[in-house]
Amino acid sequence: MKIEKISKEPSLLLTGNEATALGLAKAGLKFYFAYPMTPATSIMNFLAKMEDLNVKVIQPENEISVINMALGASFAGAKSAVGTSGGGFALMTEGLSLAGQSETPILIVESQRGGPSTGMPTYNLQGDLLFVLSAGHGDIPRFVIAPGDAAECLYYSGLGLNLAWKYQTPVILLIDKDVSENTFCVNEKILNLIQSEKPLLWAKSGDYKRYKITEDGVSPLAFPGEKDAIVKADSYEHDEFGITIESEEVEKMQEKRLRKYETMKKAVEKLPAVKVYGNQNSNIALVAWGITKGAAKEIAENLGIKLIQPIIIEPFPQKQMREVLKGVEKLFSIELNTTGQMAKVLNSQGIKVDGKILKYNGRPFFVKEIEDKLKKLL
Amino acid sequence: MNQKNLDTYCQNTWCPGCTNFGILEALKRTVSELIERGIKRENFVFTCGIGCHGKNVDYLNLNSFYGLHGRCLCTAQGIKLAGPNLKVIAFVGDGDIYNEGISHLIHAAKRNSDITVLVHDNRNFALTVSQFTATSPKGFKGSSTPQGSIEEPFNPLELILVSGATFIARGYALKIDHLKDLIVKAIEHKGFSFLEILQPCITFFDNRKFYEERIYEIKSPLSKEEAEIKIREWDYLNGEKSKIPIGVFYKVEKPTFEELVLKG
Repeated sequence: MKIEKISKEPSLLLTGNEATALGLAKAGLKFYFAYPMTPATSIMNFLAKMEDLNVKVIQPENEISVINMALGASFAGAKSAVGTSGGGFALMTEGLSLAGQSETPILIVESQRGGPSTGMPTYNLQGDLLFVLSAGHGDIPRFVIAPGDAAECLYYSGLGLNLAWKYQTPVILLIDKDVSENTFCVNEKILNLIQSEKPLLWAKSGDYKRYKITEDGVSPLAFPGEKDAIVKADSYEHDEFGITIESEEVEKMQEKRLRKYETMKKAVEKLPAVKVYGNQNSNIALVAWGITKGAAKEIAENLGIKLIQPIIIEPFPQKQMREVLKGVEKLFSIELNTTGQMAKVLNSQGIKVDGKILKYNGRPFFVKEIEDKLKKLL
Repeated sequence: MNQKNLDTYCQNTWCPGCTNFGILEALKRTVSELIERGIKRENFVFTCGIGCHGKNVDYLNLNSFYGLHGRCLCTAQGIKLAGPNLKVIAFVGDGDIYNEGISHLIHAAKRNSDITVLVHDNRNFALTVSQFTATSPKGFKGSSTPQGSIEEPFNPLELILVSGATFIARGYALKIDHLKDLIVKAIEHKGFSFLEILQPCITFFDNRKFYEERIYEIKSPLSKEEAEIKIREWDYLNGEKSKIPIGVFYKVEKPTFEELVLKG
């Protein structure tokens, strides 16, 4: 038997979790805090093993400690991330709210497994989308990003960490069990697209105000140890200096964070938030996110229809979505959950979904089964 | 160093005569003394939970992270990891850290994180108008236990000793000079330093007389065995005749968590 030589350039062989770890490290991650939880655990294991990446892995007593430690490290100037699955993220939601209120940067990896509750730890469902979009008490500006393979994990984890620091707010990287733990070929050049970006820093003149009211809602950062700066972060509502207040003045700080959210929304439109595959001119489109985009892409190509993959889901990329939906008359969502959570998100943005193809036994979609179900809907 | 510089413009909302004023005063004297001894002002960082104790950070013109109820020791450890040259001091309350955040306290002591923990132990949830905490005596009549609490208190010093703390002390909020000396020693200790401060709550649990009849200063240092005996001398019950020792009970040098994480 003769084996033909492949002309393809060599590429990295990575799981989604390994790619996530590499992307974070390339974007300047200093500390990764985590409590073991399938299917996110291999991120911490990989970072602990790969000492050359120079990321310190800390394993605190529980997920509540995980997020509060990470916020302390970020407050002191070190880029920090945490990782968990749905149940661990539930424990972190109090800390998520603290990150929003205290405007402390943090990247959170939420690798979904079958839920609710302990669910099916080693099987895949996409049941946490609505949870991560609304988690935490109070209004919290956040980014939610859902990569669909290891290459996207690599790129978007790096992007996500930089966004967390640029906008001083939580970024949730929502991945699927099968993205986390499956092995993919990844183009090494993606690493060149990721840099450790410098956040907006205090100009070292005048009194430092941690929560300075600005037009775009972003206040310059300084860290404890900085001469002539007193840095006060606060979980209570606060004034510009970071002193607790409950007067009607609080409105100004709420509005500052609202303006920051508007700035984030504009930024999303300039990022690769939505991807399109298959026949761009088809008036029939599928929408699939996370791991599901793989099978959906094959179907779109087979049937000559369009596939839309939302990757940045919050703030919602309205303009980009409107653009890719031009000419689409029928839209079907393909998801691994019982209720069609992405369809609900689209509906909330005024986008009508004509049908849902759902699967929830923990196993991935097969091309044939989507095709059969789709034919019945068409 | 003018101590006035340590004050902020924030209006103080503690009850008039609150013994937290004593702790704040001791703390300001500590910071002034340590700044005179060469620690840079910008290298102090305070964290706190939620409770009457937490207001301290609003009144101090120093770096701070006003954290979550029960969680600020986690935040403090994160700060120390990212800024190993910083002096990280956590204000916590008894409800805050003996109830809500007890797991974090035990594990911070276990890993010998190089932070200082000052517990404002007024033995009730005062900010929420008086409910029993882990150190309230049995029979404590709070707003949720009008007939008296049915639970016995635990002895936090005994707990922290077995958890692995490398510095254990107890002070009294109204013995300000003695308390200041203890805070200085706690901050200067390399490793996890734990200072339990008996803080009478003049509004909901005014046990000043009880404490002042029983408190006496111990001579340090003590061996671990001697420390165990001294720590058990008073079990946080009320009405008994035992004396209440204050001072440094235990101190030992061990590598810190941050040293071990950051080496190499």
